Amino acid sequence: MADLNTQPPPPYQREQLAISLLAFALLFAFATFFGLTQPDITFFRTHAFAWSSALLVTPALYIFVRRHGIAPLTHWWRLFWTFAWVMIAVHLIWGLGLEHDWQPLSVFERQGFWIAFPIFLLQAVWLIDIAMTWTRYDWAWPTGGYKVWQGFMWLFVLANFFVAMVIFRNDTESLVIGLMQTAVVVAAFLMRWNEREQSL
Amino acid sequence: MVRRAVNIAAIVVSCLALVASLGWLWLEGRWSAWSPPQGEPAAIGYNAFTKGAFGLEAFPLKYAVVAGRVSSAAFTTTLEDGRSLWETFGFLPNSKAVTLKEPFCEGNADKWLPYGFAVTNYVPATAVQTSLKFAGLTCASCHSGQLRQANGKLSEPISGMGNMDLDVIAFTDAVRNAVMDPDLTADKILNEYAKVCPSDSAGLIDGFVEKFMLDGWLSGIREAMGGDSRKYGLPYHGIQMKQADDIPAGPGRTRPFRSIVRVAMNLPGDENYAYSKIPAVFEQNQDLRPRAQYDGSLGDPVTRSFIAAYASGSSIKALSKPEVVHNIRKAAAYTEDLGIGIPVKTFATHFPDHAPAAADVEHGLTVYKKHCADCHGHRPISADPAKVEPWVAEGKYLHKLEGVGPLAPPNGGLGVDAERVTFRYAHDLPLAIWTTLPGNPKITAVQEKRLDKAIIDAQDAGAPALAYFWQKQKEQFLLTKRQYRLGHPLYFPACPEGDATCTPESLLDRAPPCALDFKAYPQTCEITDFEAFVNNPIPYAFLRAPYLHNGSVPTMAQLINLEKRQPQFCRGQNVYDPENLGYKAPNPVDGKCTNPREAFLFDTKVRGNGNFGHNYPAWDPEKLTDRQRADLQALLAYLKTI
Ligand code: HEC
Ligand code: HEC
Repeated sequence: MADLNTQPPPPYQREQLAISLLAFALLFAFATFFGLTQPDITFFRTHAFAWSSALLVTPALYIFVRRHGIAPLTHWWRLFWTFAWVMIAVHLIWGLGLEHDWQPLSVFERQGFWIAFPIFLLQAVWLIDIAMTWTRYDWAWPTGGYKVWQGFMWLFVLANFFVAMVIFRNDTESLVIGLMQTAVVVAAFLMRWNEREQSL
Repeated sequence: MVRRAVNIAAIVVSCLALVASLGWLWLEGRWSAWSPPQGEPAAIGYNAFTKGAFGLEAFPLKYAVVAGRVSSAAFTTTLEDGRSLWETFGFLPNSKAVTLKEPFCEGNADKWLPYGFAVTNYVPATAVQTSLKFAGLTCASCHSGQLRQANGKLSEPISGMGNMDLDVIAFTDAVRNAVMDPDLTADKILNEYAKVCPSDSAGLIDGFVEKFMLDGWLSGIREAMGGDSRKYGLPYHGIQMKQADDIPAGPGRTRPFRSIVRVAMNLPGDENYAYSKIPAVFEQNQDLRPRAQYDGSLGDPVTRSFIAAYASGSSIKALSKPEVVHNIRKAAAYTEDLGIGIPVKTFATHFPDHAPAAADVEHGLTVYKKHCADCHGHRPISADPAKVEPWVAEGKYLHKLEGVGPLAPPNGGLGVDAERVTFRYAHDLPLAIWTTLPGNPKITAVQEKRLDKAIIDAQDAGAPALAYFWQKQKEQFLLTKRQYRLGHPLYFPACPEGDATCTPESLLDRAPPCALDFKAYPQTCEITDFEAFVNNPIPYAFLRAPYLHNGSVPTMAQLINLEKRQPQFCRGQNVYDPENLGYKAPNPVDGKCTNPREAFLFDTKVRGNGNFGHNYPAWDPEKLTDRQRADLQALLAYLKTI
């Protein structure tokens, strides 16, 4: 059994931060300023933040499928995973604060338990996961329970986005982004499977 | 090397984008900061009514300063006759403007903008708040008036009286004309403004934001109006704006149902001859006035105000802003108490020389009780001519509906012009309005059910196009329901907080189209569409001229058949006639109204302008007996005191 402490940390390059941050910042600015041209600015921004989060999480979902359990996760993964969470937190602030007047119960009333509950649960659990990726030395090379947890988180996040964007498809933008995300994840699995075949 | 530079550049750009976005959001928070004003309820109500924005932002304040210069063609009617742009369209002048020495600028707008304008920072329609200031209409632009004496003297503005000078449709056309001008640009406005108000320069950031928003406003409004041309047609210009052939509403009247058909149903409002006089809004308290609008279609006072604002063109987004909601509610509360707790000057105070004799008034009350009180209730005579007694809301037919058109009784009944209540889509409108604002989740379920039913009913009635229309309305409803997740704050108070008896079934009962017929009393339906007018009290009757819902009878003497009603007359800035209680409306000469200040030819033969009906008492003014004449003169005297 390999000693985890001997695993080298994945290499960090500045462009990983530069690109993920740029993606985050431009999406944020788009939601903020393009919102000004929309009939309902808050409504638009709330949605645009959610679309942005879906876009940011997609590279992370992809990398995870390609590497989890076979290679160390990368900083690309960690950065996109984190920015996606920040963006969904912004979405929650807008949705809860501006659309629901900071009344969480009204979200339950309006959406029903089975939609409202996962929204809040996701926010909390994902944050715990992110806290771990930034504090645990073995975030890139998880083993045991932590590895299972990461797998579960991946599935949970994906499921949330899939249900919200593809199943509910409240607007075309959601559906398009949701389908793209699904396609990317499917492609990642195919590639992973293909690699496995070849290495066998 | 290059890679490193690109990376650093990307990080810098990201930081800039984030700082700009967060900075803008912070500014937005600052621009929209608002807390409910404190103070006397009457003062808060007055401010909400006369200065409170409710989403009718007409144009940027800086543009208002220079509109006469950069858009003079659009605002010129050729009938100015020395009047300011504002006065030509009938806005009440600002009493401070005459003595103002400095140029009219943004900073001193309260000293020159006409009475009843709000200064706000809401961008029209989207209701985004920025540093760019807008001038907007308030309730008082329409619902405050002045009495003009023969010598030209004007009374103070009277809250609650309709502004009978106001050519609001002509003004809207002028504004549409002005902003659609391809030569009008933000730079042109700002340059001209800098010339007029050189000492008034915006800071760097505010200046930038202003230019940006001004540009955005211009292109947005042009696009909206260009798109709306299919619904609205092109605006009239020049003298057309004052001609009855082109803009048939004229001064003191609007076409609220043409607008509301357009905004609530997204259909063209043409073929609509419902001309509504801007009504007096005194004593709107529900004990005295359980239902309002000329046809008694609305119950709740806040809904009355909401519909007024919505019909005049505010967006439902603007109407959901806390400040606007506050203004609408407080303005509504103000009208409920106006004339009761909040005093309104009596006729005798305005015209001490014409105060009626006590004996006549007393005799008049008996005549009134015989011919009028059953429908209108009455006001006991006050010992102090400067005050009034509370209205007595008692009468056999008070608060009930009088059918007209197809619903008229065999003897003709009230018999007034029916266009106000028989226009196209009148019967589809209530449900469209009722589903404009989504309620809380409990109510939206009922709203959806009603829309579904409308689709099925339309199919059953053999009107598939109407079914399609309701389907579209439902799609729109589902979208707004998502936008107002807790319900729109001005949603009709269908289910009061904590009312356990309020069930989906009881909501459905009150939802239009309602099952009750027009004779049912009390009417519980939230919005009705009966071809009928409502019998309501007529407090401060002297401030209601010209009379009837379409303003077709210039004086009370004519309304009560003491004098013959005029088939044609000239309207505009008419002089008040304290003798006959109403307006001196000159007859046209050779079919023309030549006085530029009274240029609108009101022809009662024109569809929607009929002055027939309300024939009480049913005496022929040309064949009155002496007894009848004396009765009517006494009645007129009494009517001066209520
Ligand atoms: C553009 C002019 C205009 C503005 C602005 C306006 N109203 Fe009105 N209002 C009207 C007209 C016209 C009617 C009559 C509609 C009808 O029944 O045909 C009316 C009707 C009403 C009524 C019902 C009166 C009755 O007794 O039947 C009330 C109350 C009222 N308005 C209050 C308000 C308040 C409060 C505001 C400000 C929030 C406001 N209005 C803004 C034009 C206006
Ligand atoms: C059968 C009921 C009925 C009787 C009787 C009646 N009225 Fe009316 N009155 C109405 C209705 C309904 C209206 C609204 C009609 C309209 O606006 O076109 C009205 C309108 C008016 C108005 C105009 C209000 C306004 O804001 O323009 C005045 C003034 C008035 N009535 C006075 C009288 C007087 C005075 C008498 C007695 C001579 C009288 N009415 C008798 C039902 C009645």
